[in-house]
Amino acid sequence: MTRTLIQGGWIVGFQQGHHAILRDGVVVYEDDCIVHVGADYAGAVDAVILAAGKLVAPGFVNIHALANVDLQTLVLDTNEDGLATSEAMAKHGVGELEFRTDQLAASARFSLLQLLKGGSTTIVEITAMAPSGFETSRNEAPALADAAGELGARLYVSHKFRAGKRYLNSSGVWRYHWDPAAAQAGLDYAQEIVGRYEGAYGDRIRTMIFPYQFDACTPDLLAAAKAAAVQLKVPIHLHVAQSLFEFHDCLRRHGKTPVQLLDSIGFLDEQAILTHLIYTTLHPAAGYPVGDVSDLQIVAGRGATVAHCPVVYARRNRVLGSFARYRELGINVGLGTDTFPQDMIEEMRWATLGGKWMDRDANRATARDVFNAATLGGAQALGRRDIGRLAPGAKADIIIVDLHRLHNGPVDDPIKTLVYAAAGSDIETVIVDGRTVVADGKAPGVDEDALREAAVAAHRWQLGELAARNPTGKPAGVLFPTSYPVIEGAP
Amino acid sequence: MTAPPKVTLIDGGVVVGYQQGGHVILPAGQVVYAGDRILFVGREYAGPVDERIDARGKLVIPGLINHHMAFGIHMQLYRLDATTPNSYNASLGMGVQSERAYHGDGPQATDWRASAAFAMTSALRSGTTTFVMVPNYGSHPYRGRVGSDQELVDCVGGSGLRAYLALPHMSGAVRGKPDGTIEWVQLDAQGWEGLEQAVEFARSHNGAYGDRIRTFLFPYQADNCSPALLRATHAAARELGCLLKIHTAQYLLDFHEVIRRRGKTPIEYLYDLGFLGPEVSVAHAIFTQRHPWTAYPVGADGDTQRLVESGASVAHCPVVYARNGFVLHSFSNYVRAGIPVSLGTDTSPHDMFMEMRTAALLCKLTEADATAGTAREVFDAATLGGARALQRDDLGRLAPGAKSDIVLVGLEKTHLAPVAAIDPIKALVYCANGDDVDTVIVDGVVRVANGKMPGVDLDRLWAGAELFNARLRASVAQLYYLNQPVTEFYEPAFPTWQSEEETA
Repeated sequence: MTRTLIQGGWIVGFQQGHHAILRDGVVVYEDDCIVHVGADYAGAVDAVILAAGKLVAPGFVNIHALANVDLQTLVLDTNEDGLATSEAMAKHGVGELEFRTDQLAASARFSLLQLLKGGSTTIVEITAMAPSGFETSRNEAPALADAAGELGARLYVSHKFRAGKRYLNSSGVWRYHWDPAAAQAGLDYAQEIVGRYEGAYGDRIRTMIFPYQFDACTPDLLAAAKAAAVQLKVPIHLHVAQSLFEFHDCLRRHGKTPVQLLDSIGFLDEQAILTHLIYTTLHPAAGYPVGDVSDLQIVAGRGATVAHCPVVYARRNRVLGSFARYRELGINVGLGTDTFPQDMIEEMRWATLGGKWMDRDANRATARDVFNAATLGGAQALGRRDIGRLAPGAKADIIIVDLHRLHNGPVDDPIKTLVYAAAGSDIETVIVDGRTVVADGKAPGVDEDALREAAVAAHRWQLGELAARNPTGKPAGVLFPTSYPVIEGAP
Repeated sequence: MTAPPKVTLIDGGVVVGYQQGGHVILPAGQVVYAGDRILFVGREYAGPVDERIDARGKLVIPGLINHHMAFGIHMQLYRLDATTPNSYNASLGMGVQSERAYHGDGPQATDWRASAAFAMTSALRSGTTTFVMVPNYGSHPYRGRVGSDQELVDCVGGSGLRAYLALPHMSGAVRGKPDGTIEWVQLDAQGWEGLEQAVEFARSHNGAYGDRIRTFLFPYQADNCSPALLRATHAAARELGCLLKIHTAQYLLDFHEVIRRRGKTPIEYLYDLGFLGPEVSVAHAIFTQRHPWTAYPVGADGDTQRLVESGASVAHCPVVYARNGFVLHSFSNYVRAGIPVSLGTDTSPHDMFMEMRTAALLCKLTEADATAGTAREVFDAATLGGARALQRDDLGRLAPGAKSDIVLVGLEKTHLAPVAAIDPIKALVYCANGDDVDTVIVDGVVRVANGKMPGVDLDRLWAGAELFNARLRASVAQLYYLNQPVTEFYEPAFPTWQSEEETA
């Protein structure tokens, strides 16, 4: 048994059901659990971490974290032709883009490292699905579980599956290619993954059922997935209402909004995480009467969680209808990163900036609201009272942030400074389950240079493969244009 | 006779060079400078070299031009997320000052200098090499707040930055009255006296510190300047051959006040007055006919056309306004119309990367277009846009003959590397922050090396900043905003921890 004391400048402690700021206090943890938060500590300790003048906060609970080398950054500032799926790809598996085993391991480890360094101590992972697949690679969940086991992350891992693949046909019309049998095989394997990894690595690894995208799943598949999750007693995760097309296609197919459909099949409850849930009856682009919150009332009434990932959507010109209204109606909101650089501070910042703008209200979507979402909201989504907070009995998942950097300036309120001024690289120390996984901004025992180079190589490979198989026939330079012309040297 | 300046070769980095009117990317490139001038940008420099800077794994960019920089520690962070409904804190009129603002019990001149020094150092640390000074003016005379004019100039000269300085002036103030109403107060004598002082300052200090410091005229807010004062200021600038900066169309409140007073939009008013021209930087030009909240017909955009015709530039500072829930409509609309758009840190943090990112993302949202507000456009704004606004073809670019204002950014980092491997500019704009800056060279002098600032006493800087902050806070605590004590507006994000006795 090892007892460690952190002496901090500001402690974000948890008491009486909310975070509270303790100046110049201590957090004490024994092995994987916090035993004390207070002004001081009289007992004996084995180790001391000096964090005077620094912010000691609960690690972030990132409920939609990208666990592979990001493809979405390839289409920044441009259209998404570079990621398009052709009919041949969808129907016949032409152009399968799948990592080799070594690439998969590097991709998984690099992404988790980035997440840990950005302060995410609990990671609900999402990975990109190959355009031609009905499932993610069957090697992926094991690779992620093992990478998290090694790097020390707390991970919720899943095997993703779907019944349909959306593609652009030769006339430029969106179509789906359906294969319910393939979906069932994916769901079977997803349940196998739950059995294999739930509670692994000293219970740092837990699992989920993750039907990939609402629009690529039949109601029957969603109901079957839900039944499996209920039976296995694990959360269920789903991308839903992320595009306007999907919202209206659902109305056309089922006569219901996505939320109404999910409710009609019993999908919504406290175990459901809905990512990104942008297009509801409230969103101005949906065309419903102004202020129609009926979808949101359904979600709130069932206790489901919305995983909000503002950065990736701001990059694609989309924004939640109202962060404040979701919260005020009683919806549990958590935050996720979903794209590189996976910085939860940046996500908090964009949750508040986007939220203030959409509501024309400087005083909503506050630093308090978004910090709560990044910690307590995520914990609630996972049905846990032992993460997202610093209190006796909670897991020793702790970050130490150095606010004494020039860009932060003098601090009046450490939470406002964190949300409005700080950067992920201000996070110095990350502790998960009592183990220090990032110290002084570096991961002890990890060859970060080699891992980074492997990730860069995998990313270059992805770009080349995507360009070579692209159905539009456009060259890489057109699909993935650089900001400025690149002048290569003489060979 | 002085010795020729030593020649420095920055070697092996990914260089953002400038050729044929735009930036280009040179992997494994070289930049060579001697003293304050760049000699060479390319590969395989053949001349003699005195010293080398290894830039492998780094991006070499022109120093960033912070064209509208709050001259000091900004108190906005504290004022965010007000807990009492207060419409005038939002887009209507954030700039309304309490009648009792700046009553003299607050920070002293040394504190204001400490605050400015802290802001300049943090800007320099994060890649700003040129800044244009924008003090939070309030409504009392600015002259003397930071000490004598010479003390102001020396404070800036000592920072190592390239700077444009002015004593702002105006002939009025907008005040929140205790009864909740708002009044524009006319202070003509103050305006004329302020102009006289500003001209004297501009004339006396232009070219100081080996021409690192230049001066301009700054009639502070269009709604707080009489037409006569604006005309006289414009004429004075012409005579001095200096640049002009003015705040306008920054709140809905000043938009409607100018409509009420002049029957014109703020941009239209300045245009018709003959005030706008290529030497004028308009900050922030948010509330124009194109902004949806001004309720002009959809598609009306005469204000943008007036800016285009005049040649005036727009200074865009998205962060400070986004925190209050409002946004320019839009950055790319101005850029694509041909208006020189510059960026500035009108609040803390003085991090141009945050401004670039915020400009890009908010532009995409306002235009509902992922291909608007590109990394290229915002990086151009932070470099070439600022240079155009300053009418300088020797800043904001890495090219032979340009000033040796050069910044190196480390790319071999977990949060940057894969994106940077494909497009380092997108990595900068979408993933980086000011602390990723590794080296900063201004006018040929290395001011930041390996993330450290040789010769800067950081402990002293922090102590001065903390003292300034404490004194400002004490003075703010006595202020009323409209009819309420300001302390009632602002609460910390979370309550203070209670001890066991308190919770028992």
